[in-house]
Amino acid sequence: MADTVLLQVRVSSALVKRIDELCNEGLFRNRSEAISDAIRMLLARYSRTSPEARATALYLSGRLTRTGNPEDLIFTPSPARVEVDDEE
Amino acid sequence: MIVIGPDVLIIHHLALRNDPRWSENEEALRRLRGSVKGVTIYALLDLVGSVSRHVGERSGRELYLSYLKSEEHRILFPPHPDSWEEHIENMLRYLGRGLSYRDALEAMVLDNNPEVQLYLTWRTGQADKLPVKTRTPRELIQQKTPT
Repeated sequence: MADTVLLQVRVSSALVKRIDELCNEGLFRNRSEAISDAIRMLLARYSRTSPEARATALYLSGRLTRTGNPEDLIFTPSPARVEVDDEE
Repeated sequence: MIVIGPDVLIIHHLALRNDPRWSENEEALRRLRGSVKGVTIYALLDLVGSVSRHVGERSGRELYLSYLKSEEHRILFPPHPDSWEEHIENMLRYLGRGLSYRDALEAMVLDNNPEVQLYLTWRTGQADKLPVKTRTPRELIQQKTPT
């Protein structure tokens, strides 16, 4: 058996019921296997994303630390003409 | 809350000093300093595209992160559609008013954020088709008290 760690987490009874249904359908041997698969999917999802995508997820969940003012960031464009929509 | 359009942000961040709107654009943003402003996610991505094209990808990404982390800005997102069918149905309501797809996306976000009072843009031609009052930076600085 691979090296494993006992992880105690609180999960809603509704979710556990759904996991048990998946186990009963034969998709997983037991709850541990189902939850391990879910964790693998979660890690794969975030390992593929950029820092910007991860920051967006944090922003949307209200957990991104807010600091500074982006209006202080001024750039110098290359000589090519920059087009901005005119007044209409 | 005042929402800033991508054109105003592009003139500012790319320091377009030769643009005839530059000084009024800067003055309007200066007056809004210290208050919380909105930027739609589509306007922000539009800005990031312009900065990436004219300065470089790294600068565009840096600017994106700085807006997400800003204390003075709120990034406004649309409701997440459950399906393409729902998205298209939503969009057709805005496109039917004569808006371009880009403006329709912006209008949808403005519509879904009831705290938005004013949209700041130089593009006033679409004003009657947008769900909120529109002002140019010039009009904003002519007001005694910004809304």
